[in-house]
Amino acid sequence: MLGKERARTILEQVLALGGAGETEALLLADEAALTRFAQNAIHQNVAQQDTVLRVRAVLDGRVGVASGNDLSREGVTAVFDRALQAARVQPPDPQFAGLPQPHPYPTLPELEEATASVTPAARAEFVGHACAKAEGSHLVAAGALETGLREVAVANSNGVLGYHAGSSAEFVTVIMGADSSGYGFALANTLSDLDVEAAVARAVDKALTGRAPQVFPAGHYPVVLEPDATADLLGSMAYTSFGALQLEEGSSFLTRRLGQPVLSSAVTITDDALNPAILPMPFDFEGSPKTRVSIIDGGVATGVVHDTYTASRAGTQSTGHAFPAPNPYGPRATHLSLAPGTASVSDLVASIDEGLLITRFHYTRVVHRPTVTVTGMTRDGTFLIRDGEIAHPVRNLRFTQSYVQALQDGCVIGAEQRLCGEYGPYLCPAVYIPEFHFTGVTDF
Amino acid sequence: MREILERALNTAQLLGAGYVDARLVATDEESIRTRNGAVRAVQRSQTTGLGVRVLVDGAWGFAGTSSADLKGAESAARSAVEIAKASASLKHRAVDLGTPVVHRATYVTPHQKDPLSVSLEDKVALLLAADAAMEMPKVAVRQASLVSLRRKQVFASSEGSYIEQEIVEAGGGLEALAVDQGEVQQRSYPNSFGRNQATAGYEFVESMDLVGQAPRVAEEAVMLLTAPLCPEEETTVILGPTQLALQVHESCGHPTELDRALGSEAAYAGTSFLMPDMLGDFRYGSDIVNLVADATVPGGLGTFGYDDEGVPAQCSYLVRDGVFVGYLMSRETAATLGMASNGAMRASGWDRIPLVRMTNINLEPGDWAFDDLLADSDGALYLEMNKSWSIDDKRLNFQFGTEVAYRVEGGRLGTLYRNAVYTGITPRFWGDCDAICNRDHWAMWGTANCGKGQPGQVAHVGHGVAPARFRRVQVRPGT
Repeated sequence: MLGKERARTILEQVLALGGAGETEALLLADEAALTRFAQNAIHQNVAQQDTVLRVRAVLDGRVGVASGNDLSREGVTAVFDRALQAARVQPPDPQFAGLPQPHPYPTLPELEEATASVTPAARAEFVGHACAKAEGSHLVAAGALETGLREVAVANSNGVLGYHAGSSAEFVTVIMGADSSGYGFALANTLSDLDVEAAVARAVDKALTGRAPQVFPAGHYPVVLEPDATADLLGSMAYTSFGALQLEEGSSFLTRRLGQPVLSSAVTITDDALNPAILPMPFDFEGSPKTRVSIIDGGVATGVVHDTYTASRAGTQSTGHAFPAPNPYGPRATHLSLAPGTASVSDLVASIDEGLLITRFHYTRVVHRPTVTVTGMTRDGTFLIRDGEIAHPVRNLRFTQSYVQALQDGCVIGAEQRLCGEYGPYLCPAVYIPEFHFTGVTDF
Repeated sequence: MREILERALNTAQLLGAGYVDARLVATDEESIRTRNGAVRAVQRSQTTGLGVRVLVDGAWGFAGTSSADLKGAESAARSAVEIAKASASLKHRAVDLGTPVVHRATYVTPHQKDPLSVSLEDKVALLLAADAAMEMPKVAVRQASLVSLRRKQVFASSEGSYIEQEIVEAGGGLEALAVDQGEVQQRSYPNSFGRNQATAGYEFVESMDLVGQAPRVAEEAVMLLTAPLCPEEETTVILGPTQLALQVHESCGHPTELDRALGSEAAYAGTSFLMPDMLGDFRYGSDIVNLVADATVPGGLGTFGYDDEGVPAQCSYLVRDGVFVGYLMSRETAATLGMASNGAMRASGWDRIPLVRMTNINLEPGDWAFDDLLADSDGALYLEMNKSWSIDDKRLNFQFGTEVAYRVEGGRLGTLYRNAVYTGITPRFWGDCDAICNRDHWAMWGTANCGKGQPGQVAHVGHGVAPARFRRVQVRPGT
């Protein structure tokens, strides 16, 4: 672990170097270990540690960035010199409004050292539990358990100085039968809070109930998306539309629609990196404090996330969503939450005469940005709903669907949120969608 | 350097490792990106680190450290051994690497101009000129980028290998995003995902003529805004070179990774429809379909001297005369089939274990001239440049979208359509391939964003293709 004082020493060393009008120094220190399993056995088991220094040097609106992992005095100076050299060779960017000014940071819980120092044997024990559960049901488990410690330290010549250390523990599994599979995921700040057992139980249940799937024809059906599938809706919208740069350039579905209803009144979406339960961060990668951002409130478009670059052009303040410089893709929402409704999953299923229950999606890609039209496959448990009840499992289907249209009139939001992790720590409930477009089947 | 690697090997063996390899990797990478007339990124990254991989009691452990010195080597070796012992507590059988592999060699990417020695001023000026040449009404976003990379790597193993390699890469490209009245369309050059890239020097970038191509790229993005939607139909399709490279990547490259077929990636990217008992019998495509994994082809982004287990670069068939005949393999996975590795074990850096990865997966050329193919394909759709890509977890059910679709009319590319997607099932699709253009139209394309594994790794791989024709393809508008 780098530690707060060592980090501060390196950052101050960078800021003491002369030659740039403004200077930013960012340290990213990672210690991570991951135990991967397949066929009910560990097959890959790794650990790595690295600390990277990234320097942004600004000369009269010309911005250069360099990075390196040699943290000796000479190495640090070399990174600074390369950033300065990069700045010198380019014309000024008239839209660059300067590095952030200092602001107070919200207080977050202290790092739990236990997760950072978890042993390979302890990880193997968790994995062994998952494999035993699968074997006990004559199933095969694959997946990974990862524990990590990340330190982020940032300082700039305007007086910004921040340090944050956070831990994480993540478990994912796909448990398979001969013709079925189930998925389980768990994410927590600490290993002690990681509910591996519940994730394994969900995956085993789906693998058992998903046996002997039948081919079901493509078409337009009502669906119930379980939370991991709902997370895909939020992830694709975040990628295409929730950042200020996409809004500004006109490719976001929110462009020129802030203040207007854009989704069902049942939909409220918020980005909140300060929720202490889900991998919180007090500031972003340029040292601006994280703020809670309302993106959709009761179906009305209320805002997007900013860094200092987009905020200055929009005449507003950064919301604390900058990524490490240089970042030509703009700020991104990372901690999204879809506010829960009141219906249970069984209520949602009961409302369907003929439709599908979707566990999650696989390999989704945006086909058309303005409508957030996405294609992908269902995976790890797709079930036919008939007369308000689960009838039988079906083979995976391909869909091509506008996610904006999916969350417009008629959608119903489930009551129970779950932490989902494929795109970031998202809190998602199940969702009923009255019409979802399935465009292909797999009958091979 | 040798002393550091030997320290890692010796420490691990003294702690009980039966096999050890260590890689010391130093990467120097420069990336430049302009956006709408401004330089949005000039970045130089230099990182060094050591990765130590061990087998203890027949189970793997790996540790990577940025402390690439004697102390770091010893520490990483200890950590790797501790991890391997934990792996051994939950293993089915001991890892068998097959026959020892011992090489002492050096390899340097053939290149003319060191891309990192070309001045930043010249590169920035090139991109700004290309950016300016894309400026026109309705083009909301103009982007141009260059990448230069040098990776020095030393591999040593307890079997006696000691291999020094220097890989040099250069790449660049353009993107224009046109926006009008709620419609958004993009054009890219020379490849999708921002750039084309090769193991080559700066001469590769100079050959692209980025400034000369820029106006066409922008004009086509604007034209697409008002082009008719691609109609829905089952039709004959000709895939242009970059889209065909993507098709090969997703529907041949990934499913022929033997670790996927054996279940190693089941919880993440998925498995494969190509199982070992299908080797030599399964009809993957039509008789004219021949696909190879070739890590030796000059300029390929997946070209190198030795893989990250010290196995020499080589060329082997994956599909021959339409029949599935081979996998991409590591030493461990090959041994499970009683075979030897074909040199496809690659790591993205010192901090990652090597995985079975693509090298250059190439569709061998056929015998058609492109003009003859167009003349013989009236009414077909010519689809080019990937815009979206999705395929299922067995690599069977795919849907790909392209930036442009042209109707072949009178032996020429005629009506332009927007938002075309096509979909299919892999072996049926390749089974309907009835024409491949000849070597005059064959070229290598670099894919610098191939993701795999947990923790994630991004590999640089290549694909050699010439345009090819497919019958009975389902095409539809992707909106």
